Amino acid sequence: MSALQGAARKCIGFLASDDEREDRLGDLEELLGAVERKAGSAAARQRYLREAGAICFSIAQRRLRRAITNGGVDMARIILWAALSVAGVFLFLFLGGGSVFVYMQPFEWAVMLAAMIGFAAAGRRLGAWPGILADLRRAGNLGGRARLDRRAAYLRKPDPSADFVHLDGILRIARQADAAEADRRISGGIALFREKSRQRLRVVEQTARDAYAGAAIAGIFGLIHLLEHLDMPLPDIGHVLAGAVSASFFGVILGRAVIAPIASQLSALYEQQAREMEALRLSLGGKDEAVPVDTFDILASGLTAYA
Amino acid sequence: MGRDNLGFLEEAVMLVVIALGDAAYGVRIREELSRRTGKDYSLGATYTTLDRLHDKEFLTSWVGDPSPERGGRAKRFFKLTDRGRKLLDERIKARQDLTQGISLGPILTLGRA
Repeated sequence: MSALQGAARKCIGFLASDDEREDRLGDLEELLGAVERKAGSAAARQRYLREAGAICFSIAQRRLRRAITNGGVDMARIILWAALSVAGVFLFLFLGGGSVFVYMQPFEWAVMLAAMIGFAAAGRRLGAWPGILADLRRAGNLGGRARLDRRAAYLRKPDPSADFVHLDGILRIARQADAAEADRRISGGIALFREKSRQRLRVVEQTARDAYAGAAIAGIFGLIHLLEHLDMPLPDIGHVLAGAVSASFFGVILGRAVIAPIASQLSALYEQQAREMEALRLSLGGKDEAVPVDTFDILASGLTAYA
Repeated sequence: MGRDNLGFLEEAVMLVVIALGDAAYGVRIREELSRRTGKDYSLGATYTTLDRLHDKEFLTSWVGDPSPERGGRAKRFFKLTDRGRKLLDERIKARQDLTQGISLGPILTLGRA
């Protein structure tokens, strides 16, 4: 094997997950053998490198796509998204020329600040934030190489926001009650979990809508401010106009780039959890003893959303 | 592209997976796809499509036994899920409905006129 082939293998080994590595490298070996028999070793080597490059590219492309799709799931990424969006607004204003504080009028800052405080207060009032933050932390721990192990560890932990629905709770019910009663109680618990999930999701979705509303209100204030200064020289009017749209821009960015991805990720997480619980419930049906190994097989088969 | 939409390559890969039956894994799918379409697809392009179909839950996969011609590595086999099969059937039926009662002869010869 040439050094280039070795490098190509290392590249796949580095990018691919454990399962993929086995599958992709096996396919490459098989292809190498087939081309070698048909067209000789030089052609096979060339083909190997070309295919290895295409495989690396396809894995990298898929990872990027999933990183974007799953963006904003953990707190670090949320903070990064928020910081980037604020930095983006500041850069936008800076490139427009002049100080950002000239463009962002104090009342616009006040509107955005009020929107954020309202967002935090509403969540706190509804008692949703501790659960949502815990879910986001948990979702953040689902990625990576050892995701199944982490997922299994997570399922074993009791969830303070949905007291029974995780593995231990479900198995405890299955051990304590007869099959029909256990099924009834687990089904009720899953329905409760779905309802709680919907409530939490509504808080985040409402927040995204509030950010858009905040953007619209800030825009209107900005326009009023502009109308008050129509007698100014044209370059100064330009500055005021930029101020009028900047807070709106910030509000839309906040809603679209930060809060909406959180909502969509939470939605996917809750759906996945509910499906896992259903799988668990079905796997327990009709058995005298709960068999965690079976249930983990069933769970593992459905764990594709966070790969 | 929407979650329930199928591109040409996705549809072709699904048909190839059906055609190969229990022998549908990466290298064989690529070979059969290239043979049937007359175009040389790379393994990377095939995997990208398979991954996408897997994400859309149109395909399911499982790992087989290791084999010596693959350096002792296992194969990942694919098959259509019920959802995938249903969508593919709908697509094929829609195409049949679309072409039903249309005489394609004159249309095909328009270019030569």
